[in-house]
Amino acid sequence: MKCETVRQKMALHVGRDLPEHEVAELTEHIAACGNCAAELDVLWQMQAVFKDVAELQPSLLPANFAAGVVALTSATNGDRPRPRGFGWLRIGWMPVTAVGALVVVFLVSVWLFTDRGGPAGSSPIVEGSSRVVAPDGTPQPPVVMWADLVERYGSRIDGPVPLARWEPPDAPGVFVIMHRPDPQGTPESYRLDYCGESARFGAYRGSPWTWQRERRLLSRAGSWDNVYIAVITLPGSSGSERRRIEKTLIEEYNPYFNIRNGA
Amino acid sequence: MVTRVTETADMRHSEPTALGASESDLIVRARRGESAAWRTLIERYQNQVYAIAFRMVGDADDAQDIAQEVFVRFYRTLDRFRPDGRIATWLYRVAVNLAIDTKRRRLRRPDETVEPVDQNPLPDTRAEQRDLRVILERIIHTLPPKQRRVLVLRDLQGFSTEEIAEILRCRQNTVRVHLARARLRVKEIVTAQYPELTGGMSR
Repeated sequence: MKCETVRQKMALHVGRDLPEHEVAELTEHIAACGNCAAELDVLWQMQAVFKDVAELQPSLLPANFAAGVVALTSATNGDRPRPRGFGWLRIGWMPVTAVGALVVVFLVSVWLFTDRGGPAGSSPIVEGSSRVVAPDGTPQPPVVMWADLVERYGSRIDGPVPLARWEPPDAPGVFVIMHRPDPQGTPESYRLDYCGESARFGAYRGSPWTWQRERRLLSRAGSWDNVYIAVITLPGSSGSERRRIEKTLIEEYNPYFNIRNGA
Repeated sequence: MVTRVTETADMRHSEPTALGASESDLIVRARRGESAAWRTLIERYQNQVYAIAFRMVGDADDAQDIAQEVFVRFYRTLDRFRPDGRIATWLYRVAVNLAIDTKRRRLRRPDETVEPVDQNPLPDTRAEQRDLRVILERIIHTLPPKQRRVLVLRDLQGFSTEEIAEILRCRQNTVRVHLARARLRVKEIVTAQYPELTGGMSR
C-alpha cells in the first residue's frame, strides 16, 4: 500500500471511521514505515484536541430564543400585532459612515424620564461604552452635547416608548431602536439595535424593515413588546447635521444592525 | 466564548431518528396553532441547531440568526411533515446549508470575515493545548465548505458517518473522503504554521 493511500486511511482511523477490515492492512504498513507512523502520531494528537473542542459548548442561545421564534412565526399567520409606522425606517438603513451621538438620545431619554418623575434608579441605561446614569442610579446632568443640541435646535427627545405604540413625529430627527436584554432583572437597561435619522418620520408608510431584519430584531428582543424607540426631534435640521449625530451614536454604542449594515 | 458543558449527551447530539409519538403529537398541535407545542419543539432542537451553526460560521450572532431561520423554515413546512419524518435530520441539514451561505456572504465582505488563520498566528505556546484549540477552530473556518461541514458534524458534533450521509444527502463514502481530506488539511496547516505546537504535543 502506498503512503499516500495510507494517509487517507490514517485520517479516518484516528476517528474510528475506517472500516474494520482495512485496519489490519493499515497497521501492517505503519509498523514498517517510520514516516507514516510519525504522521499517525500527530493525527492521533490532533484528534484528541478535536475531542476537547467538541466538549466545549458554544455560548448558549438567549433564554428567550424560543419565545422569539414563536412570536415571529405567529406573525407569519397574520396574528402578530405589527408595530406601527415602520415605513419611515426604510431610509434609516442607508450605509452608515460614522461619527456619533447616541449618547445624546439616551441622555435625552434619561433626562426626560427623570423629568417625568420616574422612580429613582430606574432611569434608562444604555449598554455600551458609556452610561448615562451613575452606578447608584443617580441621573447624570445633561451633557454638553445635549445642551448644544437644545441650544442649536431646540430639540426634544421622546422615549423610550414601545415601538408598537409609537406615534411618529411629523418632524426630522434621529432615532434609536433598542430592547431590554433582561426586562425582569434590569428593566432600566437597554441594548441598542439600530440608530438612524429621518427628514420626516410621518412621511413614510409601509414596512421599512425587510422581513429578514424584522425577524432578527424580534429574535434579539424576544417579543415586539420589548422593542423600544427613542427619538430626538430636530426641527429645521439638515441631513448632514442629523447624520453627524447618528454617526456619533453609532460609534458610541455599536448598534447591532448598523455595525452589520443590516446583514 | 465557550463554556464547558457536562450534559454532553443532550447538548452534543440529538439522534436524527424517526418521530416518536410525543413528537408527532407536538407537530399536530403546532399545526393547529398551539404555541406551547411549537415552543417545545423549538426548545428540543435549538441548542443542537445553534451549535452546528456556530461551529460552521464561528460567530454567535450569525449562528443565532441561522438558528432562527431554520425554525422559521421548519414552521413553514409543518403541514408537509410526514409522521415518520426525521425532524432532526431536516433541521440540521438546513442549518448546515444556511451556515455555508452565511459564510459565503461574509467572504464577499472582507471586513466581516473571520480573521484568516495565517494573519494572526499565536506565538505564545505557554498553554499549548488551549492555543491549539483556538487555532483549530480558526483553521476549521478556512476549510472548503464540504470539508468543513463533515468535520464539524463528525468531530465536533459527534454524528456518525451514516448520520452525516443522511443529513447531507450523500453517500457514506463521500463523507469519509471529505472527512479524511479535512483532517489531513488541518494537520498540514498546524504542522506548517505552528510547528512548535505539534512538536510540543505528546500523547
